[in-house]
Amino acid sequence: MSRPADLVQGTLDLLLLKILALGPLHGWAISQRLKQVSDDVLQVSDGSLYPALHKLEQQGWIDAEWKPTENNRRAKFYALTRAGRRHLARESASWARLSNAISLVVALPED
Amino acid sequence: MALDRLWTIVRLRVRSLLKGTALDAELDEELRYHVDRQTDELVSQGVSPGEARTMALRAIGGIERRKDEMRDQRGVSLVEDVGRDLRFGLRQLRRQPGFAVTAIVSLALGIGANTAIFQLLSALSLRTLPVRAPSELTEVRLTGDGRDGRQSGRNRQVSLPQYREILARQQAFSSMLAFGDTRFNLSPHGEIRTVDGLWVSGSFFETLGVRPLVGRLIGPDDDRPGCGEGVAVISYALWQRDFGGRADVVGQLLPGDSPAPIIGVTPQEFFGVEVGRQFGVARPICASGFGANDHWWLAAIGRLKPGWTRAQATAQLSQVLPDIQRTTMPNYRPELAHNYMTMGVEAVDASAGVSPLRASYQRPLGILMIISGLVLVMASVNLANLLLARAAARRHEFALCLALGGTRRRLVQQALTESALVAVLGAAVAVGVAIVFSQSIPPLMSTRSDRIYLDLELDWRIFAFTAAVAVATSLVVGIAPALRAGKASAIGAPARGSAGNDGLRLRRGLVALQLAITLMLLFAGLLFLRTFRNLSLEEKGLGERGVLIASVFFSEERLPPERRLATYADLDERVRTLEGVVSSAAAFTTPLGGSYWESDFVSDTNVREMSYGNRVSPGYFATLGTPLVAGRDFSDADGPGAPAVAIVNESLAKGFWSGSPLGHRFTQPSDSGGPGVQFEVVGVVRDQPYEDLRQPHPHILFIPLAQEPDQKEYRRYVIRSSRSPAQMMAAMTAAVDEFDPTAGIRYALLDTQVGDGMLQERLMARLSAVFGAVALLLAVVGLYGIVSYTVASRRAEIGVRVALGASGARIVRTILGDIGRTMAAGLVAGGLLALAAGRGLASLVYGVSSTDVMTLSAAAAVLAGAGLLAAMWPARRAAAIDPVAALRET
Repeated sequence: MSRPADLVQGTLDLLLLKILALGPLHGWAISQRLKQVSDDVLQVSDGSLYPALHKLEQQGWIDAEWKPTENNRRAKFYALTRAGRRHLARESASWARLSNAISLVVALPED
Repeated sequence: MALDRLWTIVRLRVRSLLKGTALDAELDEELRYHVDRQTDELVSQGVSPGEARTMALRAIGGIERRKDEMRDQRGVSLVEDVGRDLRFGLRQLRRQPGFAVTAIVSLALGIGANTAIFQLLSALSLRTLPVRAPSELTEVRLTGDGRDGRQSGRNRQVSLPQYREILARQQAFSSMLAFGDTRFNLSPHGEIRTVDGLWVSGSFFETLGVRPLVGRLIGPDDDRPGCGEGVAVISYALWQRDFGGRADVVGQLLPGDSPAPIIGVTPQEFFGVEVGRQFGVARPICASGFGANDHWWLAAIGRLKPGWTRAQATAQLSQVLPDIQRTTMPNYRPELAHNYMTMGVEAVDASAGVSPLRASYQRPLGILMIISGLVLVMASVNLANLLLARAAARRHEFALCLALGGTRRRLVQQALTESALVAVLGAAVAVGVAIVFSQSIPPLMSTRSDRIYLDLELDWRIFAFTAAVAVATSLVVGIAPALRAGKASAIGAPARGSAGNDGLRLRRGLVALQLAITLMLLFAGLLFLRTFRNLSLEEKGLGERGVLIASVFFSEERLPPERRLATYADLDERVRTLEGVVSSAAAFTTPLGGSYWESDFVSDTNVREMSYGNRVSPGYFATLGTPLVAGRDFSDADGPGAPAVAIVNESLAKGFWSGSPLGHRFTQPSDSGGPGVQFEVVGVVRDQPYEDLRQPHPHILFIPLAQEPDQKEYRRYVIRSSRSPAQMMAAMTAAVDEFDPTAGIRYALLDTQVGDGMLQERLMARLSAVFGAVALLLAVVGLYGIVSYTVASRRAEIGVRVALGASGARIVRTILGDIGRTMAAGLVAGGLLALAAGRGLASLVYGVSSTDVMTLSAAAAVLAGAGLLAAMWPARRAAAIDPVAALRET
């Protein structure tokens, strides 16, 4: 069941927070946006999306609200909270450090 | 963590807990929206609508599983699971009301009985007195057998001189008090009305730290020698009852025999220092007129100084005790003096007051506690058995749960929740059972004239105790079925109807254990019943019912000694001719009446013995129904001046003479060293009790009342009549009124007077019989359950046997033989346990050995009979199995 790019543990949270930082979205829109912005490289299975969203909500990083959608149905819109914004900043910084470090290691010349 | 985030989290968790269903609906809607949008998207890309929907659903991977995952995200699944288990358990109980009722009632009986008995023990011994710093209170008790002389009251520890010496020489206490108990007659004339009273030292209330509610309390100045009638303090209860709670009670004279001015009222919660009693009147010791060196009637209590322990107090008192004893020595002959000097002393905890009641009931209540504990074990075992049977019956369901992905942990949790549910419901009912039960025990310990007051409000101790018992029970009971549920296997579930032996051995063991315990309890119950019977009136030579005892008290001035004999003859005649009187007589004392005469007698065969004595008029034995074994009753001819004659009881006759005692003589040596009085034996009667029912064979001799030179100022009648006691009392009061309107009368019924001596036996007999019956019931239910279960699980096998030609009787025999082995094992184990436990009951039974094999056999027979009946029912159902139907089910 290996997908083209299995997400590193915990990175899904970061992606979701980042996407929501641009503005409130409902679940389906989030999944579409994820595909768009990552050029279809990062395919999050629809199955794992919702539990991840709910976890973030329970942790207080994001907030949810029922609102009418563009096609006039009710959907649950998720938005970043203030705490979530701070959390995103911290996580982005640490991600940058981590990916830098990994790039360095991967770039090591092989003998 | 930022506060706003914490708040969000808490809010969400609470919302999850409270609105679980609403949230589930939300989840549903959210996922549905996603699937719809995804389907639309796919359709717009050219996929057919049906296929698009399938793809969208597959992508999300099963809506129900996602919902479960998201529920778990909410982090309250444990609470929700328990909630669901509880609802499920309740549904199960409702569906099987028989099981629910059996389980809850057995537990309630077990826990309720324990709580009630514990409550009594607590009221008797654990609660401290409602006074200042009760933990400092310490009683000074003298040990050893050195008190020869007069003893009165229930707290006969020290004499007044001894108390004074202890007070002067002790160093451990900051202050001390002494008190004796008595009764005061509060009725000026006519029928006597007594209340419990106290003689107290001047330091009594001050040392206890009791403040007056009204007026003032007795102080040191009120307790001075030569205080006459002194003063009186009354209790709150008496103040309310007799004085209507009026404030002007201070200054009034106490009604009745002792006209002392009332100076104050004690607070409502203060009952005295003796647990189980409530004093009505307290008066200073100086007004009692007591104070002899050889009169024991006081309890001495001190308040321990800071820094002193009771051990140090005991040591210090032991040091000064020889001086105390030497100074207070009564006029004893050498051996009594030696006993007196070798007495010991100890300082004991009196924070819960003093209580002869405690001493006499602690052991019976302790044994009842053990018995009721065993009943609780029985109830728990029954419950475990029922739950095991259910677990076995639900193996299919468990296997299905496991196959569908339920975890073992959840199954165990569910089983434990269910048994805890039963335990909690049982405990709730048990509180009610306990209240009813414990309220009904003190009346068993009280008599009409001698009330026992115990504070039996439910308190935190009792609640803690009940809760602990309930939790322990739920765990013990829940563990076995829970483990069994955990062991269930998804593939190993046997086909319905086959003989699964799973757990049957454990259940048989439990039933055997139940039978063993039941046998012990039945044995104990029968022993106490036999004890009670052995003490009953018929067994004690008192054959007549409803004998009224009337004691008439005259004053010295109105009936001087020289006029008594003639007056009494008139009064005797008046009583004899009252309407309805069948038989009447006069006597110095009556069985267990409290008056007492004991003396040395020497027979003409030169046997010297202490014997009880009584002076009676002709007709005394006929009135009480005591058979005359040989010789004659007294007659009117045995009067003053006639030869001194006597009637003896069988035990005394056996002690003095080998053959017939008729015609033999014995002498009462005179105190002054003269020749003494010589009596000739003219009759022998069956044994009667004297001062204690449990004394097996008291030696008693009777002499004619008319030959007594020193007639008392009171006359005691025994009257048997065809009228009711109330009518008889009214007629008697009227008759005495004609003679002397100032005379006092006290009534008693011989039945109750003797019955009062059997209070403890009555309590033990009733309660242990109740517990034995409960245990028997539980055992029968247990047996019935196991046999039914065996029959159900062997249905197919029995069907085959019947089809192959086994007769109904043979099937019944097979089933009974099967359970018979379990019963035999239980009975043998129980028998051995009962004999071992019987030794511990030796001091509480009378007239029967505490390891009596006959009694044990009777108990075993009852149990075996009841057990067979319980097993017979399902066994016969087995014999009636239709082989075709049974085989088709498999």
